[in-house]
Amino acid sequence: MEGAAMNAVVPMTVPLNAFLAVGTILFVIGLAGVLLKRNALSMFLSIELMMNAVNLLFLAYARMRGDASGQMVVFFVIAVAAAEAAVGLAIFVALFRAKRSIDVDEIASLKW
Amino acid sequence: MPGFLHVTAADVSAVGPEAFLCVVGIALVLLDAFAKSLRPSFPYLTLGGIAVANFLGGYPSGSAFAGAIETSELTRFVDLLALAAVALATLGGGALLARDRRNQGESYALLLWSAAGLMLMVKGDDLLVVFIGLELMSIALYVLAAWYREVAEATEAAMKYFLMGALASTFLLLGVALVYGRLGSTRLTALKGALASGEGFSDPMLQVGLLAILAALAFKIALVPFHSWAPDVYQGMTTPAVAFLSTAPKAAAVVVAVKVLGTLAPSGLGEPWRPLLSLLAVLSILFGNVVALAQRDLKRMLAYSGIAQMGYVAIGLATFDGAAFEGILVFLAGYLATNVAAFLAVGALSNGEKEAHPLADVAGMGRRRPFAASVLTLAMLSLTGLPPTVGFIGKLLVFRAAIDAGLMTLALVGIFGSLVSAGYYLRVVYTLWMKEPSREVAAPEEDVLSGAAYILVSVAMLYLGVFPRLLLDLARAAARSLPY
Repeated sequence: MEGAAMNAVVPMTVPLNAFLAVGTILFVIGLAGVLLKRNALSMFLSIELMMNAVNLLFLAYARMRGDASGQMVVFFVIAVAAAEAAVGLAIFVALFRAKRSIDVDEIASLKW
Repeated sequence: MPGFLHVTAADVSAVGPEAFLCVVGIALVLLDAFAKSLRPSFPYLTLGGIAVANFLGGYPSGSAFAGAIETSELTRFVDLLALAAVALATLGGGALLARDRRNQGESYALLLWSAAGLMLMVKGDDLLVVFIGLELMSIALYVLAAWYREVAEATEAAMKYFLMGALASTFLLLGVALVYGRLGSTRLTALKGALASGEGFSDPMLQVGLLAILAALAFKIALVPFHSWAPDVYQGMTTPAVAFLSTAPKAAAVVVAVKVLGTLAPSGLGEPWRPLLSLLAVLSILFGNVVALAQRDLKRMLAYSGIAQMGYVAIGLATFDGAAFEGILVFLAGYLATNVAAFLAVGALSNGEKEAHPLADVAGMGRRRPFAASVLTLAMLSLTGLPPTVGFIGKLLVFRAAIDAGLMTLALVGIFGSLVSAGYYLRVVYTLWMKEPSREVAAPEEDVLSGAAYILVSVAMLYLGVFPRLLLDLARAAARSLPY
């Protein structure tokens, strides 16, 4: 019964432009986060959001072009982002131990 | 992708040096974990690995991995630069790290991995390979930036470097995504074909994409206004790691910029790229040189000097012809020898890696440590661009190419910058030889390895300055192998 009900739903196609719009908006939100947030972790989260926005763009373009290589790129990006996160979080932990803070405004002993 | 899963012997040999460096790095990490007593031998193991990787660097030119990787004279030239930079950093840096008991296997392994990443980045014809190479190079350097993790300044610099570097990587990705969306490929060769067959370059999406890619590369090269990480990182990072970071990765990023620009701007640099690159060059030269004048910490001063030096390279990028590429490659090779020499000597004439490196500390070192002081003097003369050092040859070629291409103003800005730079470079020489020491500095004696490093860089700076033929021939062959 349930299966039949599912089949009855008319498949809705989301236009390509919607994916591109979402990707672009996410990228801009991420960039705003990096520029406005003062906590290193939040800044890093924003950068991750930007990376995933680009992933979405890659997927949308790959679909548009009917080309699998764009989808392949996304897997590599995910793997690289994970490696980057491991190193970044370790640096934040070390910084917190040394400074008791990861607020970029409080951490400003190096200038000029 | 036909044949993608068929890995042939030619494919493996094309990435042989990188693969071998990675294996040596893993071996060093394992040895450090299970045989700590072997630590004093790690520099020798690293150097042996580099020697083998250099031997493996004799791969033929052509494409490998179904076109994802392109090898040429140019990639061999960059391989040589990368291996030379790691070898010199290892030779000269072992003693500096051992002084603080921070000579774990990882410190060498990370340098090797970073070198492998940058070699791969230059070989990449697929922009995905470029991205992966760039990340391998950068992630290893983020760790090295925080090598003294209990020193607050070092970790702070590492955090800034990491955040800004990760941001730059996302821009590179965005650029690749836009180019892919517009032209349907991430391969430079395919992109060139797609552009030639009518899809015009005046397309705004492609321009934004290229702009994003160039911004990411300008960050790695540390051109103004993407430079703000450099002074902090140079100050906080261990000296041998900076000697590497400030030379080979920048050279690789410059070469990739040339490759990408040559592909996406096939009919030469017109509007808006030449004015844009010229602007980066002028800003870097003026800002770097003027701010360097005000520095009292040697490593920070060298950071601003590096920004200015990369400004001279950007003059070559803005010129964008065969003569300019040749000049850029000669300049980058000379800069590598010179800057490594400068950093190794600064490290050797200081109180230790965990402390600042104030200019006042090298006062009177000319009498106390004449060997290291002479190397530093030679490096300063070469950075100023005085004959008969190699720094003179590089600047001469870059400026001459700019003048021949009618970019007189850029060349004049470069020459003006060099004059200003003499102020702070020669101040170091004056302090070394003329001033009385202000406080006791526990500079260690040279060991065999760092002595060898000093001799190698000094010979390179002088020999290539007096008889540049060898370097010129290599650079000419490399520049000709660019497909543009």
